[in-house]
Amino acid sequence: MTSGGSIRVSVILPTRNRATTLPRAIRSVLCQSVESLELIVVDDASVDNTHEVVRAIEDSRIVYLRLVEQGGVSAARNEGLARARGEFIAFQDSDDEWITDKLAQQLGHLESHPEQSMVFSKLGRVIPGEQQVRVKPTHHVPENREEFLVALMKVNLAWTQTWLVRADVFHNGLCFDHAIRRGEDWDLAIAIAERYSVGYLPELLVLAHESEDSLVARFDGFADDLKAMMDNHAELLQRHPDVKAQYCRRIASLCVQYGSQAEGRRWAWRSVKLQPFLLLNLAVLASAMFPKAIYMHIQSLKRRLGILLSR
Amino acid sequence: MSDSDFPLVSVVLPTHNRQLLVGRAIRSVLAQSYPHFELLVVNDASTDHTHDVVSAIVDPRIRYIELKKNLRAAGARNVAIDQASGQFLAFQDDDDVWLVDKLKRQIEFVQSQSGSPGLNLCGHISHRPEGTVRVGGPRYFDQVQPQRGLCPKALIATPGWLVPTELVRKAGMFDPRVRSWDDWELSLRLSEICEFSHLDEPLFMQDRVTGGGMWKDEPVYANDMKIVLERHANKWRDDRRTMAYHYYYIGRLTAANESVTEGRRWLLKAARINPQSIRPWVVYASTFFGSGFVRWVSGASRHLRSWVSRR
Repeated sequence: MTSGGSIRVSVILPTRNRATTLPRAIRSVLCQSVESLELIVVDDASVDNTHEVVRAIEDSRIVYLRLVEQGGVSAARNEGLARARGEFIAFQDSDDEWITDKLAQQLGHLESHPEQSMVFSKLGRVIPGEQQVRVKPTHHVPENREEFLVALMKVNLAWTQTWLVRADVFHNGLCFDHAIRRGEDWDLAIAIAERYSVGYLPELLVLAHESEDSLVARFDGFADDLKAMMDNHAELLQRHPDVKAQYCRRIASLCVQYGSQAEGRRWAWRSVKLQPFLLLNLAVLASAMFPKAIYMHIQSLKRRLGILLSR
Repeated sequence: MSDSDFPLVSVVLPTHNRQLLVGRAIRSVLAQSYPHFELLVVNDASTDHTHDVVSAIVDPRIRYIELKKNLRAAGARNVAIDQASGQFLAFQDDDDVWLVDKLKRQIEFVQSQSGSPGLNLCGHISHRPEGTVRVGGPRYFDQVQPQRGLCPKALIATPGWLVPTELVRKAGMFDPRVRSWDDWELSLRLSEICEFSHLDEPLFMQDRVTGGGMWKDEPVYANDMKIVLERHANKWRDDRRTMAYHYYYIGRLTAANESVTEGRRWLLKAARINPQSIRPWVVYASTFFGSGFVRWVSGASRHLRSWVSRR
């Protein structure tokens, strides 16, 4: 699009050292049936040939930004948000592939639902060596607003690559929280859902091709992320003590595994105070009393039991 | 780059009464990252608004063919193949979605191989109400040798094909009498004149969630199988197990849906050439309780098998 015309969708694509998969991710955006878009590629200080790969794709709709110092995915997305000129914002990741009609279907949805400010859809995780494609969200997405908020607080239902958001949502200072390393998109989805109406279009529109290294789950700092999320959504959690107790419980469990036992016990105690009659809270508190090795053993037993039951 | 670097691909898309889906299928072809193709859309005498949907998509690469009389998929594909000017043929179905690099990857792959190109087959993602899986992997491609005989997995649907036009014409194109297994039947003839190659990447998506159910018409399968045997019986001359299975298959479907007496004839043929197999005898015995009982027995054994394979 020329600078004079208005841009319908700004697509923000943060990337770091993914020169091999990036072209497919970019092509699947440029080949969308909605042509009025800009693709903002935010290069988070890559040390590979990302810049050359992007430059080799000749399309005037690409905007290439480069962060001089590595800032993380939130910083990269926020940088993209600051430059976005479209009426709508969408997010792409460097490993992922959009279905041709992704934007068209979601734009159609938001046009027929003017009260909604954001829509999200299904995503299929294609994992190396796995036959099953894991379609997310696996959980039920409630229609009722408050029920949806609670469900979203409990587990991330809306993966960023499937979002389409009206740009004005971001004009009031909403953005990705730098302090959160894992779950920054989840945190922002909750923040948006607290303030605006969010819709769900249950179509599989994105394929996430995961590589071995994108699979590495880092949970060591996740307790801090969850604490930050509790602060960000304190008011919502005040209304739902059961969800708050769930957060405390998860933090307790993470603290015991990766941090300090004493802190884990404090968080477990908080969850018990919030929901004294839930056996699970007491169980977490009790298991936090044991040494870490025993705690890990209990956890692995629980996991195995879960796998056994799910069969 | 010259045209010879990018050989022209003719994409053949037959469609019949799928006005809500065909647009998506067409757009996913037009969005291909491969630069040199034509798309032949054959409206197979649709009685809905297919004509309006296709005409609304304006693109110089589309050639629209309207049939007055319904020829079914195989016949409609032949009409398009007659008019195709590409060096290669690819096929799209009206309920499938191509991923953006499908043609690009298959052409790159075929050109990287030594020798003259044969039939190239790619993997795909199958999105069904009961689950989403990636169809591919070495075991899968090992199974899909057409000469292996009937096995539901031996069928790679035509959207996975990339084949030189000349080979398809030489093989005699699709047999219009075959209604559902026209792809398998033609691949049997192609296997006589060319090599098959496999590209183990998911390059298109079969969407049976939005696209609705697959065509499960047992009399059609029995009829298709008879035509296949009429043309290709010699392929299994030395493989009595496969041959017996084919007779058994026709016998069971015929006994369950059409005529018990004719069904018995096929079952006896199966039993005669492979007496060790217990299946023809079981179904033969069940025919004495009526065709309803034959249906019940095959349904029950299907459930049993899927239950066993889940273990």
